[in-house]
Amino acid sequence: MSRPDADAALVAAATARLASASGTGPAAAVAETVVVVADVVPPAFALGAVEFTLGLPEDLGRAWHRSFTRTLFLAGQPGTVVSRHPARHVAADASMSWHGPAQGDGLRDLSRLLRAFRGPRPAASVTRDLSVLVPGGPAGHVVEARMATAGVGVGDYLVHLHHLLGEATLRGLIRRGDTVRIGHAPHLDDPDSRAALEPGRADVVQTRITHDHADPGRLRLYGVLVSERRRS
Amino acid sequence: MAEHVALAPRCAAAQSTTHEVVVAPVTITPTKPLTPTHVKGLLWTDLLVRATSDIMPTRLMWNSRTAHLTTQTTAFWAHLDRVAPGADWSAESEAAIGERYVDFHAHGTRPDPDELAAYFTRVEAGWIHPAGRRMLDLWRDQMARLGIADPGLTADRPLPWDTGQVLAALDRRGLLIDHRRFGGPAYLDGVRYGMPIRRLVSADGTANYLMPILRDLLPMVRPDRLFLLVCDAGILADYLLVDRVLAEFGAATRLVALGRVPVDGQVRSSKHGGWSGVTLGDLAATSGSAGVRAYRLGMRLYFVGMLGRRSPQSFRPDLVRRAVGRAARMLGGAAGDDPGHVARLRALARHGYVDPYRLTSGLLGRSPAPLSSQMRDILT
Repeated sequence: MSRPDADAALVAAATARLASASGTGPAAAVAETVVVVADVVPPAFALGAVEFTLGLPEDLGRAWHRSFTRTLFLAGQPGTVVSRHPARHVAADASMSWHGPAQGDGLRDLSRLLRAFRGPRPAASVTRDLSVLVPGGPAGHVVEARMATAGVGVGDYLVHLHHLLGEATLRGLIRRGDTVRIGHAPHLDDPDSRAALEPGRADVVQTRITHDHADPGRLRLYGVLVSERRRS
Repeated sequence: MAEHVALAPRCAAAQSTTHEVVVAPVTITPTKPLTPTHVKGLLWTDLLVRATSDIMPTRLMWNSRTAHLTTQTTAFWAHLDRVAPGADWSAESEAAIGERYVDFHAHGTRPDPDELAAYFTRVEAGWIHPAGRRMLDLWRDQMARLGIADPGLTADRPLPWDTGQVLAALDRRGLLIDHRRFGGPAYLDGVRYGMPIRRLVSADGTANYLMPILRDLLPMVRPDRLFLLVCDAGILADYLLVDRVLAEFGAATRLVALGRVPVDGQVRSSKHGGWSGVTLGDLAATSGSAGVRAYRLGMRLYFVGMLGRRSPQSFRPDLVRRAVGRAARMLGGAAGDDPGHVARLRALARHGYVDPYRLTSGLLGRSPAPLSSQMRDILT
């Protein structure tokens, strides 16, 4: 695919994502989730993101989806935070906790106690290919995700992967019992990733496309997820 | 407000088990002249130590290195070396050095982390910039006139713990959020106390002023020591956290938070100047014809007995002069021995230490009793 073609495919996929999110209901106040980060343990993070999202009441899930799964990552320790600010979900290893989503000032007190997570080191320092099983349902289905790492810091990696998994879960692409495999590559320019951008596959694909950190005038594919569920 | 944050049970425990009181004031960076706020802190500290030591073993913890191991100090020293390399500071006035400090904050550029790190390394090895040493020498003379013994202003006192030891000790108690491996800062986690997390080490690896304080204090914690943390109200939030952390390590603590002394209605940071005419050097020079003992007593009456912990009143040189005149009259009579001295002090020590305010404000009545020889020793 030539560069203009690739750019056009990214624009089309990003537009489809916006339509998908805003199509979930009328516009309303922004709903924001806070993730408290003590440590970055990618399998615990990935599973936590999915389980948090699966546990959302439908109306909250829709509100968060309309807000494009907006999420704030804050440095803190779930162990000290949750006694004052109950979490909706805590990772099994207590490396992270999820709060909200909330509208307006709902998470203001929590935000005031903590500081924005900062992790500019290369994501490659913490990532490795991984596989997590979402508990609680019939096993067998495998969801394949790939994340870009070149020029991506730890903090941005969390943002990209959280959007990818959160939206995919809200759209039903990830369900209980599924295995989610996450692979990594410097750039997602492989044939499978490119093919996933085709409009005809939008129903089974989730993308994370946003401005290229290194070249803000361009869009870049930071994550792609495919969930081709056999009809039952 | 939280001038005594200690709760009653801790208070009672401290009184029954304390065998030593440790007075630990925030040290002052030798970058500017001593202003009324500094003088207040020095005199409160002096009285805490001197009066409490009459009823209990008491020690002052003063390590200038905790002030030198700060960006505030090292960045200024790096600035001096840039704009005045090789200058002879040994005869410079404190006003001239202080003006350079104000100028640095107004126009200077902040050194990069590597340049600062080189200064931190030298300070760790005991080095004091000649301009800082000059300032400390001037302070020593001014403090001597005020009756404050040199706490070791230029003494070479390595900090007992390094940064790694502090972080490890905090981590063991679940008080650390260390994101340095992700390129982020390391934070002290006070959320369990309802306090915001506080950065200790920045993303570029520079520790802030709380780190040398913890390096100095944490290894000193013993179950039978009561720590009096003397700070000014401007950094109360940080010191509330330090207080809780020391308690977490098993220390009994009291926070003595002192309000800053406004000058002409304004509480300003020293880095903006505005101290001309009200520095300790200025005050010593205008203390009039009264003797040095009257000056010492008068300054204590004003800064401790009249201002108390948190008077919002602007600095009043006229009240200082009046207090010195009163002191001269109080010192006029013969000094007798007071057999009830210790009992009197114990009655002023409700929180495990003699309260300097209660000690001095009691002397401000219309016709104060003649000062005993023991009180003269404490107050002059």
